[in-house]
Amino acid sequence: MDLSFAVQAAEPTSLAIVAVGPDGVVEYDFRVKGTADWQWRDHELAGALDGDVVALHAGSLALTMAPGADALQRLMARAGEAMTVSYDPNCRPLLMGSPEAVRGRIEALVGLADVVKASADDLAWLLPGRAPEQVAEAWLAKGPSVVVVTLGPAGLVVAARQAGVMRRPGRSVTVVDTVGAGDACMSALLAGLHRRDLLGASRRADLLAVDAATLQEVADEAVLAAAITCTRHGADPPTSADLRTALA
Amino acid sequence: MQARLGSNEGDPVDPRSDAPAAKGGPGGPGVVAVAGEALIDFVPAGRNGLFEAAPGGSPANVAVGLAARRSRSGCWPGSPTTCSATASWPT
Repeated sequence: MDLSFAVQAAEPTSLAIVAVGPDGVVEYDFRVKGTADWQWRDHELAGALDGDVVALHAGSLALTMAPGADALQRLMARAGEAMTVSYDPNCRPLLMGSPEAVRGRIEALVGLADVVKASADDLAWLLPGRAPEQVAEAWLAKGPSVVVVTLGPAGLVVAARQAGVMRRPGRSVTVVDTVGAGDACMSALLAGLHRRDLLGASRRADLLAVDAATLQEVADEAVLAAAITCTRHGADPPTSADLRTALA
Repeated sequence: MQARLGSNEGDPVDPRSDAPAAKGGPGGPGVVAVAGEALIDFVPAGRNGLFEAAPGGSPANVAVGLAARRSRSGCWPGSPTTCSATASWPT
């Protein structure tokens, strides 16, 4: 991991306090006032996309927390022409206020992205009363090539233009905690698309036209990566070797 | 936090493929850039109400997950243990 584009900040680090329920599902409390993660400025991101970058992944709290969210949104907009853009809204009601306060921004960011992943919990808060499949289709119409909605133990919904909307089953595992499970799903989706040479501006048409069989494979790897992470303490995503072992 | 992850060339998830990771193997070229927060998660340590400090933040976790998917030749930088600012995510 190349951290040379990380920014030296004077502000303190944000803190998240995690509570793990009996089913392993987690809740977060946050200490984020005046912390470093929301202070992005354009000049700090000036060179972030230089060189051999085929995809930008951005998301979560930094894309809704002022004032830095605007700079990151501009980065995503700038990335759109040159590479695949990926986005995870990662809704945290505690920090985002009301859904109305962030819905417009989040849907604008969806419109800037080629790959979007959200959880059913995110959507239940952001767009209550709508089925994951409905939201996936509605978000596809905003521009993305692939939309994934995670359903916890029930697996996920994955949608693309030609592939249509599919459900993929979850995997039954003994859950330690769900910390980082959605992120493991996200990274596995991107790694799976990358491995199949579907990332980058030159691959845009192919990503847009991704077929059901390919998408199913990528989605199933993402389910597996998330399931493995749930069997571990904290955010500890699997390596390629871990995935091979689990599939063997 | 911004991080970049190298190409996952030769990331053979397919159990039928036992080929070692190699340049020019399956997979696309280039790197993935990640931007967003890198924070500290205080996670219950499971004893006496104590908490462990663990690196977290959704985008940072995604960056770690992408790095973990690189070749099995060991580009994985090791488990970060703490960071005092967005810049100091240890490698």
